[in-house]
Amino acid sequence: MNHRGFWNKFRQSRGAMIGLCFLVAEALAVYLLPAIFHMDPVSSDVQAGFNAAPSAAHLLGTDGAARDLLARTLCGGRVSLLVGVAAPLISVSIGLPLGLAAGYYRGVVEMVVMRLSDVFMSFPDILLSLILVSVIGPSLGSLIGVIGVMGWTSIARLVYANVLSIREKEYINNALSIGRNDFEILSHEILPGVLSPVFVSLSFLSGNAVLQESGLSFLGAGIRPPQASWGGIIFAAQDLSVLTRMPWIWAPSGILIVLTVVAFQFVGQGLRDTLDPKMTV
Amino acid sequence: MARYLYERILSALLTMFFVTAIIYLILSLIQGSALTVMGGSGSEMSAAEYEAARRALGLDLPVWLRYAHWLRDVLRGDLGSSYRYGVPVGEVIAQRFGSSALLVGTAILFTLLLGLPVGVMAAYKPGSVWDRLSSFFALAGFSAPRFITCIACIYVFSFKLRLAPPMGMHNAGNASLLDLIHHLIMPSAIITFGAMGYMIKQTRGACLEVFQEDYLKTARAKGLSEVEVIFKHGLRTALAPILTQMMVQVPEIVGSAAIVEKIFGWPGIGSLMLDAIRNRDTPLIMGVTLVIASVVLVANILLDLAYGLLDPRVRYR
Amino acid sequence: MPETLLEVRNLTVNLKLGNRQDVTAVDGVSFSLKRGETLGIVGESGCGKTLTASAVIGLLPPYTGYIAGGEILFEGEDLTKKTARQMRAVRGAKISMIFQDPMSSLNPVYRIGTQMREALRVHRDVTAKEAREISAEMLRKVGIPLPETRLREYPHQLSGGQRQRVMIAMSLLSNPSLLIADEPTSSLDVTIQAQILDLIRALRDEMGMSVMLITHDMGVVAGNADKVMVMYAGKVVEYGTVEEIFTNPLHPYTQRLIGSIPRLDMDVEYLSTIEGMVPPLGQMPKGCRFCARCPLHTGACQEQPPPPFRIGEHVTFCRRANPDFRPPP
Repeated sequence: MNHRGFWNKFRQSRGAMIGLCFLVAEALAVYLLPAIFHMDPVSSDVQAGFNAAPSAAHLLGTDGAARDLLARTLCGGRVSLLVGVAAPLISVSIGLPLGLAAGYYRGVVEMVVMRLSDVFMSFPDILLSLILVSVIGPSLGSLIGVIGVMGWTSIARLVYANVLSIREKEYINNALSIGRNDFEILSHEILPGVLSPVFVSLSFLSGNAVLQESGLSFLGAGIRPPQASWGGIIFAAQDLSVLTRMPWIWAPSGILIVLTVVAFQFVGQGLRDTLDPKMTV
Repeated sequence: MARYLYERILSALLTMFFVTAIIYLILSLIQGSALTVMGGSGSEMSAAEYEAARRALGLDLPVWLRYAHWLRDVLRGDLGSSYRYGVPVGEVIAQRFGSSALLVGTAILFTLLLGLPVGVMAAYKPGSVWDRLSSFFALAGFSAPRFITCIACIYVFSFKLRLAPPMGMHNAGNASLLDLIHHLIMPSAIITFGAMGYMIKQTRGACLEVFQEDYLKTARAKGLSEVEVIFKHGLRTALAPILTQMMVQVPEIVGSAAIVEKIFGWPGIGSLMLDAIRNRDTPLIMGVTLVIASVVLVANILLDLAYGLLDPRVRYR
Repeated sequence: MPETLLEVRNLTVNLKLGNRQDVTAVDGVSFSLKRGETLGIVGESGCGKTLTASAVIGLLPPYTGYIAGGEILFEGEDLTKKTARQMRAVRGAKISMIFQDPMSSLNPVYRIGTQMREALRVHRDVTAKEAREISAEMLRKVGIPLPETRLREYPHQLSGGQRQRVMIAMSLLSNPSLLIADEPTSSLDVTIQAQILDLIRALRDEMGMSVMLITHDMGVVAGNADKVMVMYAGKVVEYGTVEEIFTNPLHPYTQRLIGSIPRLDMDVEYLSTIEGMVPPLGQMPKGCRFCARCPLHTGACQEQPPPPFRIGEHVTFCRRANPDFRPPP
């Protein structure tokens, strides 16, 4: 399918287009608005008060340190989107080669890779990430790294399964008989066949990365104040009086997290329907 | 079947070994953790005291040897003592395990009871209003992070509507079963809501395949009612592959239970784990890791057994 | 003269295809079947033969297939007027059906005995012990050795031929007056095919039931049916007794189907095949539907559907069959 054909088909999927538009609008908003309006997410406005309700000066109110919540919510979006885009790339760069090797060479490689992914999959992601982040130390970089590494299993298994089914097909044997080496077969015959499911699962992984990041930040193990993140803003709701009496503090970030994840899901479903509706990702 | 089970148990033990070894290795990278936790800041100790404390805890040994010692102690039934609370890890976990099992067990039970029929109905007529509604529900389930669902539910149901308590397992001085159930409903419903999306999706997929099979036509040709055809023949046959998919979900459910426990102040091992990680309480983290990994792997073996019971083609292989 | 068991008049079945307009897959089919008789319905896949049979037993594909017109008179009652609940009482009791692939028509997760008991209990109040005895007796009747053992086994433990015998036994438990066999032998080995067909014929005579035998193979019909109905693209093209159809086939399509039967007693160079494709559903030509593949077609065939031409009970829908027909110069 060429690019134009792909785009025309993708456009037909209403959910995917809504998701894509939302993500683009969100990216523009979180990167441009704070710069244009000179918003300050870090310094306190003591005059406005701590945990102040929304007002003309602070459209979304202020947080427990009297910082402007609109600015913090927008800047927090940068963290979520950055993690959502960067972490899956790490997952793919680990999972793709391992999955290819396991499916193509079988034998010992297959056993080691599959056993390792069993180990990762038999322990809750969030707890393992939490341990890793607390060892490495919380920062944007470590969040991206840890979430990215944790995502390798799903990509590796997906690639592995696809390689196995491609191997079954005749043309690999033909390629072998012509005397091409492993690298040529992998890159010419096998890689093209596994790329589209990987492409589709990127979008689902992005949604998952946003979820993981917000969860870690909410638990106080992710982005640390004064730097803003959605999960970190909602962290304040661990105080019962904030939770029950000041919904303006946590509601906007909470809604944005859910919408962002849904948008990534919609885009992923649209990609899947466009490339191959029967694909199981 | 016996041989298969034997292989499964062996591979589960191996997985458990790797899980604990990897986490032990990661934790060993925290420098002087135990001492910081136990003695406040290290600066209050003299260099000699520090060294003595290190040796007392065995921290001067290489990692692999320490892990070997830990493993040896575990096999003897000794999980060590918590750095933070100074009590045996086994005792702390034993106190907390029951309440976690209650919470997670309830959630899994309702995930099955609700997720299976909803998924079947969605597959029965793909593209129908019901199908769309349930897939929307499923999407909401796995797109909303657990902590946000918790906060939203506490805000709406505890604070605005005053239907359910936001905290703990019991009201002070009230140990009745009714009070426990009252406290259990919201946290377990939140875990169920999160896990159900996946359940619905898997059930729908498996049933869509089974619904194409000829034996459903045979069942109809016998004169069975649609309900019997769909559930006795359709769902029953799809159940084995659905349960296999459940295996993937068990760790995810345990992880989300930890967050729910933490927010609701539910005294379980999930919230214990989160606190232990925050406190860098290595023996406690290792103890809970061992428990969680065993629960996950035992669940997997049970699901495997269930597969055999549900599908005679596997049993008689 | 045996009484008529089933009389189908002008049956029309439509299919819903997503958002597009409904298409007619079975178009004005009529036939009748007497007690104890076998009707063979022959045609290529997609000709509507299975849909016709499914309509009779009330098993059209849920939500996509529906009866758009016509009557199905079974023992004097119109089945198209029955509710779903009433049809359930007919299915398995008076009309039974067996399917093409015995590998997938038995549920893999239940024992043979359980599946047979289920079929019995829908229509009759029997104890578990009675069910076991009746089932074992029926298995013996269809030629399954050690029936008590088989009842405790699962479908995957049986061979394909044995499974089809089990299917037949299960469908006959309530002594139905009509058995619909949808390609009952197409997925079996040739030797087993003959055994199963012989079994169906023997049971028909023994139990006095009628059979609708659906197949794409004229050879199967030859030895097993009393009447033959040939279908093409949703319409009946020829209908008559088996002798007439085989000795005096009038429709070019029937002639070619008969020509494609492999025969051992004749030394032919090659089997005749039929060139071309069946027109797709929803894009039927306005004239004769076989036109595009018919070597004898004329201009009139393309313009208007062919009128019926009758010799006694033998009916065909082809202008060429009428000796008075002269193609315009």
